[in-house]
Amino acid sequence: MNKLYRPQTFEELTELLKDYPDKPLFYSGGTEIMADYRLRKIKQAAWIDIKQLPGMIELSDDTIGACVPLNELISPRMFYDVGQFVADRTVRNHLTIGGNVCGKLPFREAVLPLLAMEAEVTIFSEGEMIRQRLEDRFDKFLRLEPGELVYQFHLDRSERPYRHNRYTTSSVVDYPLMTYLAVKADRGYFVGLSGYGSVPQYGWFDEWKQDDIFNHFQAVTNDRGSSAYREKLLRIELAKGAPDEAV
Amino acid sequence: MKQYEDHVQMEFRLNGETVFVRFDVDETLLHVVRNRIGLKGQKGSCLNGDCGACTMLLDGVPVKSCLMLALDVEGRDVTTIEGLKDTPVQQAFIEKQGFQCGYCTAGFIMNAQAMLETHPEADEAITNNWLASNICRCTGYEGITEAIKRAKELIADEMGK
Ligand SMILES: Cc1cc2nc3c(=O)[nH]c(=O)nc-3n(C[C@H](O)[C@H](O)[C@H](O)COP(=O)(O)OP(=O)(O)OC[C@H]3O[C@@H](n4cnc5c(N)ncnc54)[C@H](O)[C@@H]3O)c2cc1C
Ligand code: FES
Ligand code: FES
Repeated sequence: MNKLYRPQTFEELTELLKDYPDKPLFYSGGTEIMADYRLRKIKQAAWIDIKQLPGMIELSDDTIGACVPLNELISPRMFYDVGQFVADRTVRNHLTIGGNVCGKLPFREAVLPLLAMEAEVTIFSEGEMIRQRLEDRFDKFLRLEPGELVYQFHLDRSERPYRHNRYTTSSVVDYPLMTYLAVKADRGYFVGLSGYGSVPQYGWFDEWKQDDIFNHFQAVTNDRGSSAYREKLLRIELAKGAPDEAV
Repeated sequence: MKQYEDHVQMEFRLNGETVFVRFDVDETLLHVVRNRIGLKGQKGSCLNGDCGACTMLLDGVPVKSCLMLALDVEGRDVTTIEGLKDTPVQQAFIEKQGFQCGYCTAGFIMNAQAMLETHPEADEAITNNWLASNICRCTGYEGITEAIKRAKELIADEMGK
């Protein structure tokens, strides 16, 4: 990298993107980018620091700017519960929600509560802001065209009944073998998993039928654990009951 | 629009003093502080965000300086171990021998310093949550735990409790 841009307005960003029609690298918290850069996995010579664009660190009742660090997301409670296990506390002081959702690593745990809360996302695309349901853009990865930027997430932060658990192979600070989030919402039961497959997986279910839910997900075998072990963990979590059943 | 290319210069506050430094645009904060400015207290080890040896305070908040562009701190306040002057946390690490080889120590101390500034009575859960960001390869965790306890006592004494 030999150029860093810091646009202060979206007009400046629009102009800048015209010079880089291929793939500008948006730099947010930098925790994934800097690790990859050191390993020479990042080819772009120009990076765009997006943190000083207006609205990127907005945090209000119904809006979360994409550059808000994960440690600042403490409500609703499920956000805190899921977020507090991503990386470690120091990293989370600069690891951003947008970076986690847009990252390339398989885990992207923060997307689970966003999907469970039926969040919407505003994407800056070719000079315009497009707002849509997150799940319409999220299929294994957040589907972004080159030059598209995640601007903000929008959600109703009211509390919902949920169950959450996270398994790792060693210490608490580790990538998940399986992160489990089950939520009861008006729409039905949400179950989301990270670490269970090679990408985050989720589904909505009308009823709490353990076998149906179990069969919806595909476990992976990798150096952290076998698919059989992950399946066992999922069975254990599902058997604890629906998120709205008394514990 | 602000833009930075190749060799850049930047002003920020380091341990309370304004510094002006030149470096390459892609250098990390850790690299600039150690190799351009010459403060070697914070260490580089994994350079991957895992170990916490490089922990510095940015506007009072701990960050992993190996995972951050130096340009991220333009105009902001950075504190390294050299900026702490005989604080209760430092005293406690000495008293309780909260180190063996010492490579991780500056990182632990910076993180503990920030924790105890915001939570002077941090309980075990808070302490674990914060200090899980740091690894001691010598596994000197017992001494570190004792040092944190002692630092809390010293802080309570200072506050006249
Ligand atoms: C020590 C360590 C432990 C970790 N543990 C976990 C873990 O347990 N669970 C987990 O889920 N993750 C974990 N991670 C991965 C971490 O989630 C990602 O590194 C991080 O979320 C990226 O966020 P960031 O703000 O630092 O993004 P950056 O590094 O700045 O960017 C990451 C990617 O997202 C793109 N991007 C960033 N923001 C936007 C935006 N607004 N719009 C479009 N594209 C954007 C960037 O261009 C880049 O490709 C860990 C990382 C580290 C360093
Ligand atoms: S050197 Fe920065 S976390 Fe290890
Ligand atoms: S004292 Fe040696 S690494 Fe901690």
